[in-house]
Amino acid sequence: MISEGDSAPDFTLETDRGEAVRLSDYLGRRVVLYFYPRDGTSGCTRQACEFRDSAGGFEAMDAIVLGISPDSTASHARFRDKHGLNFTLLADPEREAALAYGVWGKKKLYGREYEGIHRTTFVVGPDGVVERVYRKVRPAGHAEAILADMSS
Amino acid sequence: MRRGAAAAAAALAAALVAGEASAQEAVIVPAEQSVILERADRARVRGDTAAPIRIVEVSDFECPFCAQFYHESYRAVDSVYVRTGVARYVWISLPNSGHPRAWSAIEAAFCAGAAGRFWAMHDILFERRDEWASSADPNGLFQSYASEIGIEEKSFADCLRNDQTAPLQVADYESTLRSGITSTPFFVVGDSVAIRGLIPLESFRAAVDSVLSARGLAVP
Repeated sequence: MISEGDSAPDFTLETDRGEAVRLSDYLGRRVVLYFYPRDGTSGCTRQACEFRDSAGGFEAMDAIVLGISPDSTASHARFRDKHGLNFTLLADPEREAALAYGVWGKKKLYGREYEGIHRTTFVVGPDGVVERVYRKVRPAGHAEAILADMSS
Repeated sequence: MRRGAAAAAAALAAALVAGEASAQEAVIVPAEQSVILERADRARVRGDTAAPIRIVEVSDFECPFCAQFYHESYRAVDSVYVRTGVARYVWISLPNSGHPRAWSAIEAAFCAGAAGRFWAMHDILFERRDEWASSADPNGLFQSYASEIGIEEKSFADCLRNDQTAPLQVADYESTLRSGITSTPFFVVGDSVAIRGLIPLESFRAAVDSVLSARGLAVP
């Protein structure tokens, strides 16, 4: 898995509006890249809504928020519209970015093993280097915790 | 004495009404997602499966022109073509991204569909569009509409909360955009004639009749 101090692997993915975006397009700005398992689940909805509600804080820090999951662009469009999300969601159906960042792997739910996204957030600095990694993220209070770390 | 008899009669009537109400058991939205999706997909099709043509409506409950079509033309189309066995009617969702409650309304209709009440919810959503489209708590209203049309409360709430119909909504969204349909209402008659936007009932009927005539079918 990518760690602090590593160069953030570049990728090109489609957004919830069907446009292609490269991570390196954002060089010069701080990027909060958060990987989440699936649109519409309660944890992911809470996490996304907290990023939405903290938009002003991230803007004040000149930081861009990008959410990534294996869902399709259509699923992202639904998730965005349904919850009024004000940041970009990226579709990673082939798990290219998830594999590059090392967040795709075995998980356990009720004793059953399956493969999925480990909820992880990377803060990428304006120089393209990973400044901070949040592993095993709990959705509640996550956006606020990132903002607090950014301001300290 | 007469007052006592009247009170007893009123009590008996009330008991009978209560008994009647309890006899009508609320329908349940299934818990299994695959069952929900299969039933919801089937429920948004009405009419005779042997009907010679199909009318597809691509629509958004929050879209004002879709609501206008419902108020001005839908019932006439239903009674002239669908109830007579001439056409099957299919409702496909395409929410406009400028309509913040559109996805939730579609979700309510599909969850109702999984309980066999798609068209009852469809009617309420168009009839009360102004109410829920301006509400801060549309899901609370959808829940009350569901109860009104006889859907068991908890199973409907679970269907909404667990996002059970998301795959059907996303599939509609992908298939309509892939077909080049970007606005609502949009109709496809007999898999051959496309009607973009709201048109008067007479023009709509003329389009359907032309498809029927072209296939040598009787025009109702």
